[in-house]
Amino acid sequence: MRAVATQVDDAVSTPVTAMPPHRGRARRVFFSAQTARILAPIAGLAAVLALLQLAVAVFHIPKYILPPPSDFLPAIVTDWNQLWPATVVTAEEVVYGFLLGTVFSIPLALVLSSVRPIRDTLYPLIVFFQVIPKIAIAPLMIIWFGAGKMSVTLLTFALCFFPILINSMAGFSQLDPRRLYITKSMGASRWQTFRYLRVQSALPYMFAGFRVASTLAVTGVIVGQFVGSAAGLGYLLEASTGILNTALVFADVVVLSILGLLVNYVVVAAEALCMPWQRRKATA
Amino acid sequence: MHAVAATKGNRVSAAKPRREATSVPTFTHERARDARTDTAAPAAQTSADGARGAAISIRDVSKRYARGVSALESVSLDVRAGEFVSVLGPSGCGKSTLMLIVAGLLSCSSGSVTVNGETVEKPLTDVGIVFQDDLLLEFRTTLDNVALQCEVRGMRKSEARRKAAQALDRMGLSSAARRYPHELSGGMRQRASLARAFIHEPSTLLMDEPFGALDAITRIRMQGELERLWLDGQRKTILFITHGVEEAVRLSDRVVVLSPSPGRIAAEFTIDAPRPRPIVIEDNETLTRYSREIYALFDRLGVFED
Repeated sequence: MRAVATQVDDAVSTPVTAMPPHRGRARRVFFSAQTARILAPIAGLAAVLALLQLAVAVFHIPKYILPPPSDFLPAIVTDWNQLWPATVVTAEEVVYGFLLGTVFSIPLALVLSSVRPIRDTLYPLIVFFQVIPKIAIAPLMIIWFGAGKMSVTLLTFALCFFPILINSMAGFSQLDPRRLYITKSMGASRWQTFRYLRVQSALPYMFAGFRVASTLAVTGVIVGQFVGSAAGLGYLLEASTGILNTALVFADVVVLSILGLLVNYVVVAAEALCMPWQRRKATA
Repeated sequence: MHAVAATKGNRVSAAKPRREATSVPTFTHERARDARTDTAAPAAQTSADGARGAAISIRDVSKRYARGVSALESVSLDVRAGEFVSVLGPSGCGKSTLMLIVAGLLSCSSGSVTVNGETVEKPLTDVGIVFQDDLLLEFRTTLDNVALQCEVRGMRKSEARRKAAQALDRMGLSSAARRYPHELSGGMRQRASLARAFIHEPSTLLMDEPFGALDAITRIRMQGELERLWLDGQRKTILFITHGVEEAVRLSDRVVVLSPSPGRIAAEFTIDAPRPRPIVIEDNETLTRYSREIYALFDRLGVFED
């Protein structure tokens, strides 16, 4: 490659540096690479919406089957007085269910991974409960706790509980024994070993569990509200389906997706906050 | 107990060393374990009753794992306070096992170990440990990794950090203080793990192939650095596990050679050469003769055969 270049240069007697470093040098750049990375998905979304709008018009699809974006996007604003309270209830139930799952499963994971007899006794039971499709116990929740917030939150808790438990257990038991050599030779107590070594070693596993649980939490709340609740985005979804207000159904789904994104973002942000070493690993 | 050990210790017959120039220090080499007490090498004045006077005293230590695999067989060794002793042997001869037993991190099947007069029954704490893997915690910065040693021992965090910063400075690692282990080179990581092992000024250092994972040049640099650290401060007792003949000869006051599995002490060499030792031992007739002797012994032990 280089030899060829030199030959050419010799022939026309121009210095090598006179050759343009990049082929696309003359092309005008409208956005920086970073701006482009932000704009690209927005452009994608806009294209899909435009296509939808066009399809509805071209194929004469009735509004109650597929409302065009020009219908359901304004519905977010016009029906805001219905959507907002529903969103608040839904978000509350997601957060409560998720937190409840975290509060119960992490200490339990710690006990199970450190006390052998307890693990031997409880773990098979836990595996058994885990294979039950949690959605199937939604009607039971209604029988036990009645329709409303309590049932929805508990169903969400049941969904969040297992991924966090299983992952945290893996985190607490996965520890290179040679690391314990180091802390033992420092004379670390059990508590110190836990505080300085075990917690941080388990964190990446816990967050893997949190991420799964956060997605499940939103699903859990919606299903719970379908089955037995008179409030929330899930309830509103069902109610507006019943009266064929498809625009509101779509608006509801859009708000739900935004809520889901937000929950996901909170988990990711918490992860970056709790594990700064991981963040640097990603950029390194 | 002693008689049994003597028959085992004398198993390998020692070839007499050649003496060339008068200036060349005398070899006290391949002293079979029990002969040591009467050979009266200046570097190994262990009393016949063993444990007394020795910083580390290993008495007839054997280790058998489950399924009858024997890792160590009746190993006895005394290390004086401030002495640098290498345990040299091929892979799988049980030298790492020996180190873990001395550190109190592994129990032996029979025999006993005393360190600074106390029988080792639980993990030693007056000790710095370095393994082949740096074993730094990925979630702590280099500074906090070194400071951990002090923090666990009850020092206030700010104080521990200040001390760790000094330790890193001494190792030429100031620039790495705020970085995480995965952002450092292998040599830097191992230097940080050395700093962690030295910071609390333990009486004893136990090192298991600390430079085994480094590239050849970094390894030689680190050997020099270790020697400097050891010579600078109050000399610590070092038990250094290695399979590198040159490394053992370059660094040690005494090299103890273990035979292939199960590990037994095959011979001991007192390395009588001034310090600091040359960086590269190839040009040094005294040191190369030791390494040649050890290679010859390895050959007789069948280390190079399958």
